[in-house]
Amino acid sequence: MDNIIDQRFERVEKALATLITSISTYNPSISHANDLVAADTELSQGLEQLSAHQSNYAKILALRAESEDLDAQIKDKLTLLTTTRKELLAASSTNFTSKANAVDVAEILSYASRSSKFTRPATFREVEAQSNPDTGDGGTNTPKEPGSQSQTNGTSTPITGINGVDKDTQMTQGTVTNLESATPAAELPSQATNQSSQTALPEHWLSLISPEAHMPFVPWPSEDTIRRGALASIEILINQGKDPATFDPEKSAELEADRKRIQEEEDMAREAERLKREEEARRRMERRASEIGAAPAVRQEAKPAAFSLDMLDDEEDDD
Amino acid sequence: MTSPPPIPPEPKFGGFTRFEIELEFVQSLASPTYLNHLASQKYLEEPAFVAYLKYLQYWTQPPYLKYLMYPGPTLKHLELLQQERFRREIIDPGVMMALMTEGSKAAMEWPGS
Repeated sequence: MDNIIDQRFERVEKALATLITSISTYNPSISHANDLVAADTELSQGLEQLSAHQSNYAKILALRAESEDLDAQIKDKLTLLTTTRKELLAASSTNFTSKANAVDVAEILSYASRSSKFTRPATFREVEAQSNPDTGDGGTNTPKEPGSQSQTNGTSTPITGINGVDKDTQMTQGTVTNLESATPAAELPSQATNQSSQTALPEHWLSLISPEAHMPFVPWPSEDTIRRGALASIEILINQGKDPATFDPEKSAELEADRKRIQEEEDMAREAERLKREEEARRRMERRASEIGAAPAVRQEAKPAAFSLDMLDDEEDDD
Repeated sequence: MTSPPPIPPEPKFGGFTRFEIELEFVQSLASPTYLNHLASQKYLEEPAFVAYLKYLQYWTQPPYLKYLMYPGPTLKHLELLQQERFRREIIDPGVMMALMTEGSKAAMEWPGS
């Protein structure tokens, strides 16, 4: 490349020199000038070529560097792969006994999260081996002594005609969703000597959010829970005389809605009647009072006044 | 391509399927107070009821086992109820209290730290 440029330069110089000599010898020749122009254009072309050459060279260098970089990356990845493989093979794996019951991990986790509400007290804390295991659950909010079982009395008589027992809460699902917000710190392993559960909700919030949090925990359904269950609702049905085999809760919901509507209408009718009666009684009283008093003119005034009073009273009654 | 036969709708009793009802009943057996109540109502002496308890043992096997929310006491009491001596003794409130204390203690300590 350099040679080419040098040649071009030389040509330019020569042409220039010949032109100058020809001018100095008072023999200007146009051909010499044309030579000079040609040499100059050749020179500029050479320069363009030079710049192209240089940019290409730079590109080549850059690409070379990039390829080396990528090569290095590939090498790194390969070494990483081999070391990881070695580690994997070296890691100890569990040896499954032949009698193992193949259970899906997700299933186990979901079961554990569902049943943990019912198998351990909500504020139970695992204790480190050093500390006294008896004070391990000292951090609980509710006392867990067995004597507090007196709430669930032994002789629970069968439910006869308990009104308003709702049919929902089925123990099978265990979806008491309000418990989830009650004790967020339930299963965390604590620092050994953490007596008061600092991460649990404050007492008054806890009692508002979840009434169950204050009842003593038992690892079985409490009497309340049983009374809210399906068996209890079936018993109610039987006591009401309906046949559970043909009972359809959806249809019954419609019937319930109808019944409520009819009852509400009756109530409103009764209210209207009562109000009318009261108005009449009041008017009668007012008339009597005004008769005892003054002239009929006053009575006319008293009547509108009585009306306005009545209106006010009605509004009060509507409260 | 023949499609599989449609699954018949599950019969419901009082709005609940048999599965739900039996699951609820077997788990309420986990409560010693309820056991005592059943005993006092003389249910435990009827052969039909005893046979039903024996039938309920299917809850100890998968895939039914995973539906139990109170697995410990449920399974334990179910097993105990198969024995006649237990059925006779559970009517005694002292026995019931013993079961309750034992169950509560076990819930605190198992599996042990």
